[in-house]
Amino acid sequence: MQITIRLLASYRQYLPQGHDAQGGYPLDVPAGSTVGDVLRHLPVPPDEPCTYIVNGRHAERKQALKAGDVLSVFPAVGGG
Amino acid sequence: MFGWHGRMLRVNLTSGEIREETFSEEVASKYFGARGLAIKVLLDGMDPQTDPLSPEALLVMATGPLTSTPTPTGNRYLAICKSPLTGALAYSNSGGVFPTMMKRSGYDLFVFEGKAANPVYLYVDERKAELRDATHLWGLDTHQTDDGIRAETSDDVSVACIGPAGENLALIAAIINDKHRAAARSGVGTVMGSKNLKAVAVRGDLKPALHDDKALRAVVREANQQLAADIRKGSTMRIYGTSYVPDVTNEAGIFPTFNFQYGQFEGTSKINGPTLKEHFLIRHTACYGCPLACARLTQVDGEVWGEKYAGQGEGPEYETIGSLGSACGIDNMAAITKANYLCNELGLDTISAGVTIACAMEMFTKGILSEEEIGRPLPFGDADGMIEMVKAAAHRRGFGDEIAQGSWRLASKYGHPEMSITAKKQEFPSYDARGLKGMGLLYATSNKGASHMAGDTAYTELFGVGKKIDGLTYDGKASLTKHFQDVFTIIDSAGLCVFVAVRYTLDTLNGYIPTRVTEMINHATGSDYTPESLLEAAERVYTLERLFLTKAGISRADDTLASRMMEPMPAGPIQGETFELDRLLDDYYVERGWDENGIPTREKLEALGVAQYA
Repeated sequence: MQITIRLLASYRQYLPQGHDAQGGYPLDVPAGSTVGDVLRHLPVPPDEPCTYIVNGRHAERKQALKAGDVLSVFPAVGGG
Repeated sequence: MFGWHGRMLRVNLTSGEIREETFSEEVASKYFGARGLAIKVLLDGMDPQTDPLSPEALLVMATGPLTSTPTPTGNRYLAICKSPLTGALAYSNSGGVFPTMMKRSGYDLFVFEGKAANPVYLYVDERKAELRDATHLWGLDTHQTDDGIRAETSDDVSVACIGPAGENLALIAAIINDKHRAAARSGVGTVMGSKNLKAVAVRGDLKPALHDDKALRAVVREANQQLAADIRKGSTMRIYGTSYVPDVTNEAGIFPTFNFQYGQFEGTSKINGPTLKEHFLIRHTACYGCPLACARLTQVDGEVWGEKYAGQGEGPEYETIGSLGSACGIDNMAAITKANYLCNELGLDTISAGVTIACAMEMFTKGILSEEEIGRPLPFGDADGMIEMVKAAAHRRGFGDEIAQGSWRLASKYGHPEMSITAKKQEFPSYDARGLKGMGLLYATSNKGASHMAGDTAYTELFGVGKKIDGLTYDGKASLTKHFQDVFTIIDSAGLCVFVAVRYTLDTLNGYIPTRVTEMINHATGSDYTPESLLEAAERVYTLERLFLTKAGISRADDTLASRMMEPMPAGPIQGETFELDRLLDDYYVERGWDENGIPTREKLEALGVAQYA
């Protein structure tokens, strides 16, 4: 199934060429993939705490994704 | 005494008398830090029902025990007084260089009372304090004032001053220090203006002795190593400063748009961090001794963006982008940046200015305000109209006089208070409360009205620092908000900056426990706080502040949110979401040990050892 990945804030630097963070980029993942499954394969530093939301809302790592979902990922920074 | 000079300077502006007062280690420990000592000074020295712009009102400038120490961002001060905007307290926090220089001038606190017959400024050079005539500075903007005072004193002074907005008693006036840093909120600059106090200029090298300098430096090294590792990995705060936030809040549907009518803004990508970095950033800058360096020195090139926007300065920060930008429907980063410069130069709070202009734009759009009343059309998205309103507000010129009063007075005057996005008459920061229940409860109950700096639960409800929790749930939010308010009281009172303190001096993985900051305070002062006893000291401060509000006539009826928050968000990820404040308030008061009207109980005051103030 296809979902959309958006890499925000300083994670923009890891965006695949030709995509902007607003639109994100499409990613094909196996049906039944969870947030955690997808996160493991994103091009962001694995040793850095990151935060993720699905369709703009809070999500858990074990949450199953659906086709068309938007997974947005940004570093856990805060402040502003 | 360690970590403190144990001295405050009391300045009677009416008589011109300046005297030193001392305070004991016991007092400094019980009434912890900048906010603790300040609320004690206010409760001891003024009737909370006093008109905040009268000579009887006090204005305190306070540093903490970690201000001017090697701690990362140990360089903050607060301006504390009764707020003319809200009628509650004002405790506005700023960095730059001034806080460290104020401490090194030989004092922990300045307390101003009375009103000078003519404009004056206070000059303090290593415990030599004098009031100087400021008649020639009155009317000047903050940059001119800063330059003028340096020229006639010393180039190494640091200046905190007001601009025309404070002089003209605009209720949303800020105190600007070092030209670009603002103790912005709640009208602290207005109070300064009401006293004919144009500026405070400080210099010196008097540092309080530290109890265990070596141990403090060891703890600081740990924090700095962690911070340096983050910067090496590509720290978001270093790359973008707070301007990275629009992308995140917009994604979550809580980025204030068209005066908080919506939570997503079509023009977000034009007013975000990458745009700022690509087109306006000169370099990042730092407050005194800060290893994070989240500030941005920027420039708007007139040849590229238009001469009317040309300028150079610092900012905009996230809150300014949200308030002067998306809330006003403006996607022109050059105009937002220019308006930010103007607010700093004229001495205005960018948040209240922006959200009040957004309110006027909504009133214009809906036909409540006419072109004749405003003196021009003022639709959403009108960047030049926004800039004109900023200038007019500072000078209280034409319709600017209405903007200068803040949105609550503006919207109420025309019979539409629902268009004022405020809590206790102070404009919201740029997080729509409907998406963050802890944050909304914070706005409603904060001792200073709507403010993210009074206990920013977005750290966990949105940004997921330590642990991410769901912003939309109500469960546990009463205790969360109470805890964050107390933790932020510690950070403020210590003299630290939130940005570094939250991530590098708290245990965020286990509930935002003040672990490392407790060690820092103990090594600096010789206190023997535990994280628990430090939280209790913060709760004492917070409760005393609330007692000041109680005595000023504020109770549960005032612990409210803009009525728009009770209406469903019309679109976006949190479409349909409302804010049900009553689901949280009772629990919050129980957490605080206050009665059902939000009044601290005698039992609670006794338990905190401050029953004498009941």
